[in-house]
Amino acid sequence: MSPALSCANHPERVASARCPSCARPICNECTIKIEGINVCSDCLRKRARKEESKRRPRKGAGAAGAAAAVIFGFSGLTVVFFLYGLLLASIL
Amino acid sequence: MRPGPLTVLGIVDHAIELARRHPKFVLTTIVAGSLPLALGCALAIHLVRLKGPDPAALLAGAAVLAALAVPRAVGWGAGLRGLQAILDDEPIDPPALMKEAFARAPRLYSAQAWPVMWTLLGILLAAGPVLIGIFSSNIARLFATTGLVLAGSTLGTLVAAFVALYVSRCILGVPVAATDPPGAGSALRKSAELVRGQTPRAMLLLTCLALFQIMVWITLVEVVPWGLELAEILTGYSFLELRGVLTYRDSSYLAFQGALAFLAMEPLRCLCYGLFHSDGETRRGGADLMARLRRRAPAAAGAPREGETAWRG
Repeated sequence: MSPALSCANHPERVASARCPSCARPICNECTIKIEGINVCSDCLRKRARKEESKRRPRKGAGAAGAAAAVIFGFSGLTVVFFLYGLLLASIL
Repeated sequence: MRPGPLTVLGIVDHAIELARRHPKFVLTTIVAGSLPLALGCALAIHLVRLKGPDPAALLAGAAVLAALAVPRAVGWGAGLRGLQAILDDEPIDPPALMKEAFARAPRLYSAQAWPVMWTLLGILLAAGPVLIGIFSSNIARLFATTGLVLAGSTLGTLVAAFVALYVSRCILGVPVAATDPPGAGSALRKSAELVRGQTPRAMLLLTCLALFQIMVWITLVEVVPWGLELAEILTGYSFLELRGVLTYRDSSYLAFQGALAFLAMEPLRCLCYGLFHSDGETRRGGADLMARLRRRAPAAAGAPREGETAWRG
């Protein structure tokens, strides 16, 4: 029989699960169950940080994006109205 | 049990009811914002008919029309904020709403221009193959040309379906741009997220509104000649000259009535998109459940407890 693994964060405690993300043994206190999967608190923290950095808008990106959207929208509408004008001019 | 989402006809019905209850708000925000674009389009068609094809003039006119879409976006923004206030039982102040929407004009414009552009392009792209198929058909060579007609109409239908699918994913872009806090992510992306799972409903709403638009246009085009004819019978005066101009054969008249039909349908379109958005958002956020619980709470508090009689006389 293999000896009981100890928790990666608390060496004095016996591990009750293994984190599927980092594969480290973790005790009950370090385990967080999300959507039926046991994850260690460190991995969850890392994932949360990554998600937050993805969500955080870059400096100036909002204004530049809005300006680009307006320019694209304006030029796109102009082109479409122009095409319709050409079509109408050939029909009428 | 949680009630299902509002049906498309339920949304249209609610939108008509709201527009009827708040005519001043609708006229001063949505209709006022869309008026320049509607009149601009009618005038552009009239000028194209009079002056013929001139690429430089056409391009300048197209740029002016694209610029006239800005007040429309602002009017829609104000209308959607007003709708939010109406649904929250708050007072509506049209000038303040317009001012607030004006501050969001770039976001509103970009959220509205993109689907409008794809709708207009979609009509062109879908009509192309269908028209090619129809014009190449020949009754004398029926078997030789049937394949071409079928291929043209199938291709046109497919293009229309794809464009309708894309546009239906964007229909909540303007409501999101009007109501989300400034600096939030792309309105069109959020619209696609909100419409996910609701695409058939969104497409049905678009189809309904397009059908209503055509019906209103046909009615407006036909009502004037009918009215003149009736006036001739009743008064004995002859309106032959007017009837010669105000007919569906005159493209300027058609364009003007089209602009009127567009204006008449604008409040309905805007409020329907707003209600579709608020329905999805309240269901997602659980606000509908909270409202139902709040409505039930006083009734439950006043209800007789077990062992008590309902009426103590």
